[in-house]
Amino acid sequence: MEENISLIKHQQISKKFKIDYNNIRELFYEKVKDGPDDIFLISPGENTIEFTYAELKSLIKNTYGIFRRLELKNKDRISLIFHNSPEFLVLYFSALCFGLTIVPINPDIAPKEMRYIISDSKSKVIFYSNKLEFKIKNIKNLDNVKLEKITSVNDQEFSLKNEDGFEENEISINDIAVIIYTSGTTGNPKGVILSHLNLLSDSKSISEWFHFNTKTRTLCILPLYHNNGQITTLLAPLYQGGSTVIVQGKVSLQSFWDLVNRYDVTWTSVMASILSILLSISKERKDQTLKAILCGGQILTRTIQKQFEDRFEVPIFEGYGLTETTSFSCINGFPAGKRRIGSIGKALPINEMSILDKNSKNVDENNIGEICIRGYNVTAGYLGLKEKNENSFRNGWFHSGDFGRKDSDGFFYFQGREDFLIIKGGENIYPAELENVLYQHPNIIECAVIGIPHKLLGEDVCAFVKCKEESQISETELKEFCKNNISNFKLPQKIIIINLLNDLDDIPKGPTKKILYRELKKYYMEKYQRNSKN
Amino acid sequence: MPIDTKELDMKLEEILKKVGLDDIDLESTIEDIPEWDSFTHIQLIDAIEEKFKIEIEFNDAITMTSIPIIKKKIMNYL
Repeated sequence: MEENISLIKHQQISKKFKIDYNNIRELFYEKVKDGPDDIFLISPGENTIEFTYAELKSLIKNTYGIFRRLELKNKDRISLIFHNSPEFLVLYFSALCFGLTIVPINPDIAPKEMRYIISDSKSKVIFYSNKLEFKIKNIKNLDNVKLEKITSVNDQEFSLKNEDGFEENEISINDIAVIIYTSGTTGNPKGVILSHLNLLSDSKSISEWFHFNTKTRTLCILPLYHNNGQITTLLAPLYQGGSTVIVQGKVSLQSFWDLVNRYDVTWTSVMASILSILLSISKERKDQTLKAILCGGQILTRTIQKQFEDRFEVPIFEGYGLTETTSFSCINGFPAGKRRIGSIGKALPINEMSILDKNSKNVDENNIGEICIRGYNVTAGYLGLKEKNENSFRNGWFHSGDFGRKDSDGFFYFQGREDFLIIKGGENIYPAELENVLYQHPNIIECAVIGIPHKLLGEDVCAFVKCKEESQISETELKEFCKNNISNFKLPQKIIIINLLNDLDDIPKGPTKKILYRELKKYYMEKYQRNSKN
Repeated sequence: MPIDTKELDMKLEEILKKVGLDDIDLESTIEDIPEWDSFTHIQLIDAIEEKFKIEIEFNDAITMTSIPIIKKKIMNYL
C-alpha cells in the first residue's frame, strides 16, 4: 500500500515499512474473513459479553443504521463519552468503518471541559453512556449538536438489520480516524489528529515487536478514550487476529490477577503506578499465561520493576511515546533477554528518533537533549493550532518537549519533561533522578519530585512521598537517606510526607495514573508559598 | 449470618468513611465520584471482606460499582 501513502515531511523515514491496509475497516474485514468465529472481545461483568469477529461485524453494520438516522456522513466527527465498555467499542469500530472521525472524551473531566472539546472538534453528535447522563445534562450551550444516549449494545436498535447492499464510504489512509485531546501546558487541551495511517502503523509495529498472533489475548485496563488503551490493547491484537478483554479501569486492579487467570490473558499494557498498586496489595498471580507487560507514560523505577518481576515473575518492557506518536515510538527489546534495564528501548521500525539540541543538531551519544521523532505514526498536527504546529513540527521532526539520551547501541533513556525540569542555580535536575533514589527506601510506596521557588537559586527541590501505613519515618530521616545516595545539589530542600497531611491523600494522578506534577505544584504553591508570605 | 438492612447500612457507612468515601450519596455510582478510583475500589473491597468476613468473587468485585449493587451483593454472601 505504500505507493498510495502521501507522507508529510515529519512522517518520512529512510526505511520503508509495509502498511497492509488502507484503513481500519479493511484490516477488520480481513480478520473477519480469516477467523469469523474467533473471539475478539470479552467484557466481563454481571452479564459477561463476548463477541466473535463475525458478531462484531454484524453489530457494526447495524450501527450504521443509527448513524444514518442521525444523518451522519463520511468524515463527520462524533464525540464518544464512555468508560471502557462494549458500547464504546462497538461505536468505535462502527465509526471507523463508516468513515467518521471519533473524538473520545474522558468521562471524568468537567462538563465545561467537555464542551470545549465538543465545540473545538466540531462534533456533530455526542454518543454517551446512560450512566453519565447526570454529567451530560450539565454541558451548556451545545447548539446544533445532537445527543445520543446509549444504554447497552443489547438494545433493540443495535440488532436492527441493515441492508448488506449499502455502499461503504470511501476511506483513504490519510483520513482522520481519531482526534485525541491532551492537556496543554497552559489553558485549553489540544486535539491531536490521528489518521488511519497512524493507527495502522503503530498497532502493526507493536504487534510485531511483541510477536502477537491469533492466540494473543490482551487485557485492556487503561482507558479507551486515550491512545495507549486504543492502540496497544485493542488495535495491536486486532492486527494479528487476537482478542482483548476490556474492563472498566476503576474496578480492574482489584481483580487484575483474577482477570488474567480466568481469561488466559497473555499480554497487557500499564502505567508504572499500576505496578506499584499491584505490589501494594496482597493478591498473588495464579495464571501461567501472561508473557509480558508493556509499561509507559511515566518513569518506571528500577526498584519497582525489580520488585514486581521478582514477585510476579513476568517481564516488564518499558517504552516511550506520546499521543502525538499515536502511542509508542520506542520499546525495550523483546524477549526479556534483549532488554537493557533502565532504558525506554529502541525506536520502532515505523519511526526514527533522535536526540537534538536547541538548534536541532544531533547531540553526542549519552548527552542529554530533546527527544525528537519522525515517522508513519507521527500526527499530522494539532487541530487548528497553527503556531503550536509550527513550533512542534519543524525541520522534519516532531519536537516532543521531553528530554533524554541515546547510548552507542541505539537504546534511549528518558530524563523528564521539559516542563518538569528543575533548574536549581543553573543546574538541571530531572525529577526522576531523585525519585529513583527515594523509591529505594523501604518505607516509601510512591513519590513525586517538583521544583519550588527559591529566592537565590531560582528553584529548589521538593519531594512528596507516600509512606507505608505503619511507617513512622520523619522528614529528617528521609533527607539523611537521600544524602547518602545523590549529589548534594540535588538534595530536596523539603520532603512532604503525604500521610501526615489532612488535605491530600494521594499523589494526584490523571485517568491513566500518570502523576499530575502540575497539580502537585499548584497544591504546593497554594499551601506553602501562601504561608511563607504571611 | 443473616443481617438486617439497618445494620448493613451502618457497617457500610463505617467502611465508606474508612476509605474516604464518607461524603457520598448512598445512591452514587463509581461513574459519579472521581474520588472512587481504582485504588479506593481495592480498599473498599478489602474493607468489605474484612468487616463482613466474606470473600468476594472477582466477578462480583468488578460489578460492585454502586452502593445499591454493593448492598445487594453483600446480602448474597451473608
